[in-house]
Amino acid sequence: MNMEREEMLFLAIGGVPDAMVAEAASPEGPREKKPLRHRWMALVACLALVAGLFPLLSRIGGNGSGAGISSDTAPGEAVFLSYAGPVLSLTTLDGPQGLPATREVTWDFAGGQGEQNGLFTVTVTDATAITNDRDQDLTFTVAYPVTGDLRTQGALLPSLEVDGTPSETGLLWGDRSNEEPLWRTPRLESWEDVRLLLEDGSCLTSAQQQPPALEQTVTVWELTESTAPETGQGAPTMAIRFQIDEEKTRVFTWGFNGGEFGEDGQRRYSYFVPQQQERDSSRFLIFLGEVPKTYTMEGYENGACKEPLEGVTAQISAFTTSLGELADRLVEESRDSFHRLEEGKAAVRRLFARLLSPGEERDDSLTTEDLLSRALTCTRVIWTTAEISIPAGETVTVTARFQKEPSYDFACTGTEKQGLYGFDLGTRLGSSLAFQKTTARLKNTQQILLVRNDFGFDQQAGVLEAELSPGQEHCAMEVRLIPTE
Amino acid sequence: MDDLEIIGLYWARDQLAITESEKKYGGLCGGIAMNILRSREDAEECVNDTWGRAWDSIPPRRPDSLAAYLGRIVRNLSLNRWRKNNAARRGGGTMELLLSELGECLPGPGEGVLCGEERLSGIIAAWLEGLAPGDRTLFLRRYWYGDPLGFLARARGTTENHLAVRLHRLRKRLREHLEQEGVGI
Repeated sequence: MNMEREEMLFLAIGGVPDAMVAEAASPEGPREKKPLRHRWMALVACLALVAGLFPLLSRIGGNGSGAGISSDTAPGEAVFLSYAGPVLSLTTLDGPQGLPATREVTWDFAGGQGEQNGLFTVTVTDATAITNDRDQDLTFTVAYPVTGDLRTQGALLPSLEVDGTPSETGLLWGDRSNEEPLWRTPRLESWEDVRLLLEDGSCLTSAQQQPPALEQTVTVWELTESTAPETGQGAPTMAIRFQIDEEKTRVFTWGFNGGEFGEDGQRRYSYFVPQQQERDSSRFLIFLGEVPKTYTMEGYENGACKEPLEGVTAQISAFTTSLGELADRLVEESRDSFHRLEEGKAAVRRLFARLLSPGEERDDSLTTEDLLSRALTCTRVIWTTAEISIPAGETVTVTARFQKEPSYDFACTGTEKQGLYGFDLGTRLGSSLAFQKTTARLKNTQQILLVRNDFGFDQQAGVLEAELSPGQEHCAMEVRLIPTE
Repeated sequence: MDDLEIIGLYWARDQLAITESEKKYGGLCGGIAMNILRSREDAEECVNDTWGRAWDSIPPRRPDSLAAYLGRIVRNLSLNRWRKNNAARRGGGTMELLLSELGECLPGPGEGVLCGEERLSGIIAAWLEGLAPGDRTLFLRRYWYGDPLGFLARARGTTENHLAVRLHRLRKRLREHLEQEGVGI
């Protein structure tokens, strides 16, 4: 492939007029032809009007609060560019299936408290009353799920109370190592994504499994004490060149900026030598299988590795370890990012295991940094657990309390949902409980305007509590903030 | 804060201009850089450099669209960073994929008359002008903003395969247009 010609075309596309760029500001593009079921919904709405069934509309597509959003998707089908994930329902880990339960979920909008990442959050209180309808006492573990990633912490993680007593015992982190190509980080971008992830229960099962041991021996070349003359320009680069038999050796890098794969197993990996004021970091070449017998180290003026530069030096040493221990060390090297070291190590070990699994297509361009980044930022389900005991015939209430960020569209995207914040609820997805009644409630709504919902709330009429119908699997609402003086 | 106010801050040499640019367009620029570089660290550096470039160029420039102006800067910086990282030789990267797709638009080597980047931009803009709005924005989301197909498919409520087929047809049409115009690249 002649890269220069393609790059020229890429640059020229960059020069098209601003108006065209602005026109394409929304990834959604002009509205596509409506799906058939939406056209049916419009027809049903017209018939409902004719039949004097207007109140029905508030449950189909909006509550008529008059906030001026035009959309032809129901609230639950709307997709925000930044999806915060739904409020999900309590489940059991090791208890009997199908225990009867009732549930009350409250979104408290008081004061925009607990501001996270510049966005307001609401306080969610989700109380589930579980009845032991069996003829013997039961003791088992319950698990309350939220969506997040390995950076999620603080009040975004639920606290659990059992009949008013704090009781949480731990966290389980959902595994998504087998999803998507390894280089692409799995996200949860819509309710549909969450539904697919949780509907068969395998995600919770895998979250309880130990990470793989990864006992394979690896040889690691560590490059340290890199130095380069002060050139005042460019980016002095150290490159190391060697040859491998690709049938017998896999190479992974840590701390390198460039890599070239030549014919006959020729490899050249390079990194920018830190300048005096820059902090140096660890650099590893990790060999699984045969280790090259020789190597050459070369200094260059910059990362193109074309113009040689004298005086670029580094020390190289070798050690052997297991792949599992090495994976753990890489996470520890990144402790500034991985606040949860043990969970990070487990997630990275799972990704290494997939990387080396027989069915995985080999991709030598993947770096260990790619794996760590994916482990850290992959959106997953996190369960907070607690142990509960319920005497036969009695009921115990488990209450989860946490801060919830809204879904939203980024400020600069120009979509019709700008300024709207979305919250949604999964009424039973992923739960082993048999919910007999679910009540949703809004509190302290003075600072919000409820634009649309399919819970059955009607802010104008003061209806801020709704009992959800048993058939509703998912409900959503969209709100605007009322500016304060 | 609206764009005119932010541009006014640049002209007043008020560093709040950078804060406001970051607040308003950090997400846009970060998204473009990540689409091209697939590295959070590199993308952050390019976005930071973008504010510096904007500071150095406004004044004298007074962009009509700050979003497009900053987006163009971060796009070019990201391309440069990608080149510097030798990512092309690593294979499998997002940028390589984008360029490989664009390769389908190229007239044969040695065909046509070579022209400058500005002229080429004009010819591409004229071609885009003639497309239906949906096709035009799809092409630009993919090759200007660098959006992944999966993301676009979700945003547009369609499948990756459907968009891949549409983009393939658009690339073919662009090549035919460039050939008709006698453009060499």
